[in-house]
Amino acid sequence: MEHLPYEILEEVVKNLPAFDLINFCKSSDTFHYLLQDKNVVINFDLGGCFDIHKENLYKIVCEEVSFEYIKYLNVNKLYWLTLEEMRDLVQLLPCLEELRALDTILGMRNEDIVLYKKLKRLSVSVEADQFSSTREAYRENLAHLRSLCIKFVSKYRADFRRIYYMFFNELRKLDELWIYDADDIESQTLLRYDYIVCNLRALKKLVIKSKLNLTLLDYKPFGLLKVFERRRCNVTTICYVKFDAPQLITLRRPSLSEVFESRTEKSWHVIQSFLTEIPCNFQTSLEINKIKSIKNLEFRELSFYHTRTCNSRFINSVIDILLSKRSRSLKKLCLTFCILQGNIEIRLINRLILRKFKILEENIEKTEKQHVFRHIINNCRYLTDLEIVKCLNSDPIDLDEVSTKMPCYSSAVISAYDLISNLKNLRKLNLEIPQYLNGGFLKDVFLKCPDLETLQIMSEGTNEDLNSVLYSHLNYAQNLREFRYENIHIDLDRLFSAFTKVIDSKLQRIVIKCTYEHSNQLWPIEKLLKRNKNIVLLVILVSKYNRHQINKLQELLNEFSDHPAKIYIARTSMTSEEEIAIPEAHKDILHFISDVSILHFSEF
Amino acid sequence: MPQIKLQSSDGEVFPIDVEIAKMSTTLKTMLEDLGMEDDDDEIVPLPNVNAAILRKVLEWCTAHRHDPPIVDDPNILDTRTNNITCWDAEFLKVDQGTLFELILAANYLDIRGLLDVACKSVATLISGKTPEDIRKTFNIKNDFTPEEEEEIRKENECCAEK
Repeated sequence: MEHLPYEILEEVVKNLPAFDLINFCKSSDTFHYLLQDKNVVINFDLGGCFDIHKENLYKIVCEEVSFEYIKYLNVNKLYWLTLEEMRDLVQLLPCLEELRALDTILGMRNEDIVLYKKLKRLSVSVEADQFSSTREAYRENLAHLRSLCIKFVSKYRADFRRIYYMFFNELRKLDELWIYDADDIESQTLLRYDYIVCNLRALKKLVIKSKLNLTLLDYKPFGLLKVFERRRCNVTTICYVKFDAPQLITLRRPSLSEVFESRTEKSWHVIQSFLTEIPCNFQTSLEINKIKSIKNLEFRELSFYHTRTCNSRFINSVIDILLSKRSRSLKKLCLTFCILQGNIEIRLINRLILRKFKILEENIEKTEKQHVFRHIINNCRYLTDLEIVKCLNSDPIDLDEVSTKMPCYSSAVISAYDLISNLKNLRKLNLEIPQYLNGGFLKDVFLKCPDLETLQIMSEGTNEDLNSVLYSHLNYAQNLREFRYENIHIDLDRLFSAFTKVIDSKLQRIVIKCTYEHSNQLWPIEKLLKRNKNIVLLVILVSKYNRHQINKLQELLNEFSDHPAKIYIARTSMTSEEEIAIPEAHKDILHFISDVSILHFSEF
Repeated sequence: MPQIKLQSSDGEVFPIDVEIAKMSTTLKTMLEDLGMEDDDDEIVPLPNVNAAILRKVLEWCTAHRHDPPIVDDPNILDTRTNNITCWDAEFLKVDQGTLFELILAANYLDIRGLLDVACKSVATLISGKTPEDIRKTFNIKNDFTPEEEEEIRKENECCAEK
């Protein structure tokens, strides 16, 4: 490594996020000069890097990095930095053009906006009481801004209409706007996005995300076309892009009775009409809107998560898509139990499988007994993120009967889990686990998927077998950073003991939720926190704990919470007020939410 | 399709299509400057690339011959390591030595696309690691222990005083 020519080293490290770059330069004195290189430090990306809390960021940037070259700074989610530290850091950088500071203390205060004078691109979280500047101050300080991503953590104030619309009115040169209304307290403060948009004539891209129910928003009169929509757990995200007028007219959804170019194409339209939203990610969705076909496209993310009663036509179409050429480079996938089951019109599927994988005729019988997941993972072998969630596969005729709303299981669903370990590149695994699945597959996953960083498991009922697999094999997951686990009963002592067995653990965030646990000895948690200084989030929710037990546990956690970045919480359950107190940066792991094909505001 | 012959440092000769050879800016310039495009018998020696690496480089070039040329756009911050295609990721699953040799060959032959993905692949080996892990991964010698550093500093101070 040390012998590589200078220009090649530069090429390698300019692909690194800032914290990795700093660590690399620390590994040898010969690399230290890289932090002084203009091309290397130009994009200083610390977004979502919780590990940096151990360092004094300002001191590093000030003393070790040629900060005068930094043009793009990403400090998204560094919530523990004080307002003073943040302002000092931004002020230090003379060439800064782009600042991404979502979920940090920075906002739109008088003192904040003067920092944004030279910025062309800004993302920031704001609160209602921060808007106190005058129209002139906004005009003067935000004059260069072309792209803005703004997240309203709270938005209610008596004069909100006047203030917010005045603020957006001063940003007429914006060509990109992302607004996230993260304030879920129902009030009269519904932001009227059309009031905002009508004045922003240069807008080429608009993303709206809201925790409140968004009514149908049509911005075609402004030349903005909806290219992406996602509704998950009461959060709606809609993205609009500027299109030419002729394109607006020609875009329409084809009828399913039309002739399609290929079977894949038809399946795609069946899925789309069933889900009412496009299952792929934003980028692919944009391409589909441009070329109006999925021909020659390669999917990166697909989510078949649905809340409607599914049918065989939908399931067969999903399998069609997943076994097609289009899905070979798939990285992220969200599947439901009904798709894993895949035994609806099994002959049809098998014919397809035979054709795709050229399986010999005599093996037909054998293939029929196998389930479709084997073929899916054969085709989509580069998956890094996999989610398996349940589906309410009830019979549409008996909708009135509550008893028919039973989750569907079959041997195919159960044995699909055993195949997960074949996905060698897995980084993130979110699983809902049926009650009678013993969890033995997890041992293989830990051993065969060395890159596994995030594991989220939700057990449906009391699942002791799953517990014991975790207690005895969790130590094999050497690179695990994030762990979320829900079961009715969890033995916290054994679980935490399993974590302490990992040498050089990389654990950062842990969320445990159960109804009861019996051991209640505190030493394993103490040992875990003593050993792992990297843990920034530890949430333990035991609903049957009494006040005394909670207090005792919280006292212990408080002892180890020696840095503002560390959030250690013990509760019986999380009320919405308590949830608000948790930094926005950690809200993603608090609940079991599907994360595939979602447009994240950190991607701004 | 016109062909040319490339000779590796260890003497092996690889006949390839001119179209593929031209993915290397070095070869493209050379062929154009010397007017060698139509001359089938001419052998181009590549003294810095051995046969094993050249075979790998040509495999990459053949697979990517229809790729659009890379354009430098300062407005696109395409720096994240997750945009390596699956084919490239599979192709670059080689030992570290080969990976570095591939980088050097891509640099020498000036094949921008290959250099990019190979560098990104090295970056993935670095990311998420502590300085100690990085030293282990790349077998980097820790230059000085803290005590040694202190000693050198004192020596330097003495020299300065003299």
